[in-house]
Amino acid sequence: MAHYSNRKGLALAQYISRNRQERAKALKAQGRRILGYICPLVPPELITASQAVPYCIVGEPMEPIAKADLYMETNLCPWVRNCFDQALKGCYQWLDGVIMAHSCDAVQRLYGLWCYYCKPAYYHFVNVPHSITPATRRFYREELVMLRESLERLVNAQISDERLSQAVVLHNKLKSEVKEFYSLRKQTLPLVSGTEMAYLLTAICSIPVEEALSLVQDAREEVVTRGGTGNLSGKRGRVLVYGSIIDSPSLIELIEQAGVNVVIDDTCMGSRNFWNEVAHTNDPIDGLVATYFDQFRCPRLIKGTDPKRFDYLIDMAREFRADGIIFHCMRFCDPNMFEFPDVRDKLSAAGIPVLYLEYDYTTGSIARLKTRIQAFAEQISQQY
Amino acid sequence: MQKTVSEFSKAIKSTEAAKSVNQLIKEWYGRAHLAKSRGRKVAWVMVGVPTELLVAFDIDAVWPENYGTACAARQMATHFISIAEEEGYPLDICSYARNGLGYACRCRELDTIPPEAPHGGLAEPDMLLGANFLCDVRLKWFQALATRFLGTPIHFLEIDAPPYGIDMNDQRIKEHYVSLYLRSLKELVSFLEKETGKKLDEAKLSQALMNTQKIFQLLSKICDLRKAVPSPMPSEDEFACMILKEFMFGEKIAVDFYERLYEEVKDRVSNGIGVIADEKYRLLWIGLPPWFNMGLFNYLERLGAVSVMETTYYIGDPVEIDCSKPLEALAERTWLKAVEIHRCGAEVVPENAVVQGGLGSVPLGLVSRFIEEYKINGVILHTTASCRAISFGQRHASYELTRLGVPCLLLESDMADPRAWSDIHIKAQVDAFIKVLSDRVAAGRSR
Repeated sequence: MAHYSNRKGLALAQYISRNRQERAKALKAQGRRILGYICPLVPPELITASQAVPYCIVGEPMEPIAKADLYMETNLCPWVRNCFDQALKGCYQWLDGVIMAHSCDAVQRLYGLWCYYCKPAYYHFVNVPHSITPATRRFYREELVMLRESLERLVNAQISDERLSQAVVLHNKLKSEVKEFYSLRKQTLPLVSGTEMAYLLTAICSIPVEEALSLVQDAREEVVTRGGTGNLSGKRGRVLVYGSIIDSPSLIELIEQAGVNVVIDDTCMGSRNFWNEVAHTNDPIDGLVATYFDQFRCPRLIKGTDPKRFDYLIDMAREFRADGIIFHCMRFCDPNMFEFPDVRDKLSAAGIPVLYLEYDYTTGSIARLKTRIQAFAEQISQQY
Repeated sequence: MQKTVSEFSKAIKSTEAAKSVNQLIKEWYGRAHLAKSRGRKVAWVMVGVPTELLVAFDIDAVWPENYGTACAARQMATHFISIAEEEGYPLDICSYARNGLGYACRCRELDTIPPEAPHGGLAEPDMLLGANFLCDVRLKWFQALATRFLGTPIHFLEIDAPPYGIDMNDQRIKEHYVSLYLRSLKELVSFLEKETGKKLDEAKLSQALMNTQKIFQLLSKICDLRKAVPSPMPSEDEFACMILKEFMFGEKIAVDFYERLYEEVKDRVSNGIGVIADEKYRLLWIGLPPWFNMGLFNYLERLGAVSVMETTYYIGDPVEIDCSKPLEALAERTWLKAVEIHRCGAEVVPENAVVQGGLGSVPLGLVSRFIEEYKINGVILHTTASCRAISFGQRHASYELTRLGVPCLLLESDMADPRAWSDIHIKAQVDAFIKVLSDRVAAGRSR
């Protein structure tokens, strides 16, 4: 990483996040294969084990949608539309392939359109059932086996159990480091802001796992050494951000500008990706199934009908001493929209206020969101 | 005299069979209430759960999704939808679901069936049977019902669809999906045996499947007859009859109905009886209809345009299955439908394939075939704001069809929420579209 020699830790994370494709393209120029993926239900461990670099596909909220509306309805997840628009503009043409999971209706359908119009060199879809039963677990397991075989054909090499286990170990190290990094925000004066965390999270899913690990370790050392910083003090109120994908620091930044600290998140590019390490199993595929199907927290996975399934949120809020929860719902996000009344009531009963924040992934909605966030920040700051 | 769109009117239908469905619907909802009063098991069910299984278990089913249609047709959907929105359900959620959740809210508030509920409301369920046919909503909706309102035993059937680009001739892929369908069906059967206290009656299931095979054949023949000029049976009639296809597969009543409908349509073709006297333009309808304003189809007819065919609820070609092994046959049928969807060009929506749900979205290959076979002059694609699952693919289809020179009209409203309807805009778009068709026909072009 000689190119980045003048940057390290949080500064490097911010640089990578703002220039996400740069490192991946440099690696491609050196002969590495870069595979774009959508959704952690495509376990990145499998991509790493194939010697390719897993590159998480994101949108660009600062760019208005230009081409996607020709082929895709506008009453659809704006994040999906934006990603598709990026693809149509050629922003992802350099990828060696794309792998998507059946994370929701929108992504399932995005896959077909992406393949039809963008014609990636390699493409694969991981189908994921919604409910968790012996039949569906078996099905998802076979889906991962087929993904593995597909990757083997792509790279023309076997992905042995040993190699896959090594990838699991590496990614587990990253999960552990990131979780440890999260814990630095439990303190009364968090050692790292939500914005800084967001930069780190968006950076590490665009570079190889070894580089990501190094980045997180450097960042951790930096924040522990620097202690509390001015921009974190003086904020009254701590929030947990829950819900739809957050693939850019701008939303977190907006929340923190309102005068609160974002101390923890429960989102798919955030803590959900890092909270549970993959167990070592004789067949490493079984460990991946357990983590990414049985244990993965996402409203698209049907985890029963007991309201206790939201207890973990209360525990998380208490662990990080969050005063309130911002329920971030991307517009048209069905899995999250349906959850809102139950999450709201469950958390309110536990004395934790909830703000429903609908985001349409455009800069035009920022002013409206700002007002609501400020009002919520005032509400939860009153106890200070 | 200036023609106007009737705001929120029911459709005037052409066939006697379609006209008789209203009474059938009343009896159908009443059947579940009667069953409940007699201590029989009642289930709230999602499309995707094979109706034949319910017949085999003697379970009376209620379909909250259809209730959204019924409430919309009776101008009651806004009432329940508003209640759901006050409860906290965002207004972008499927309007069928908002109607159903609002209904459940109202039941909770009154601790009984609301007096204003059409058809006497929904018989209280002993169980909920969900399925992931076509969309996430079907699962999340039932999960919300069970979590928040009902606390009833619930089971979800998984019928995931093979994605775009997969090799449907690959035996391993077939085994992978058929195994899921079969295992998932067996899990459902175990649940039903536990909840009903009865074992699956395989003979009854086989008979129900054979009934469905008959319906399949009849529907196929009716679809063929509908290719006639003038059109003997328009889309509004087909939509009116939808409940038999969606919710009564396997039942003798559906076989009898479709035999009657087939004879009637055959007779109309033989005698050259069309929907309107002067059929100028033949349209293909794509998407759910606006159930609160089916009079739109009559408005089109007053302009000389008949919607002669539709892709929504089209169940495709009959399939060969071995009904003597009924569970295997159900799994095989689901697979064969998935194969058909892929063959039809489902690049956008390789949806979960079930028979009664039909090909709800826009398989481009099928659309192209219909345009030729039904002598279509133009295509109307109705984008329903709150049903993203069915709408997705319409822009893509419209783009591709327009490239091929087929006139397309993209209308935007909703299937159950009338607040999404703008009379003046829809009318202006329809009038302009008919003008386009008129100019083309006058120029000697079929499209």
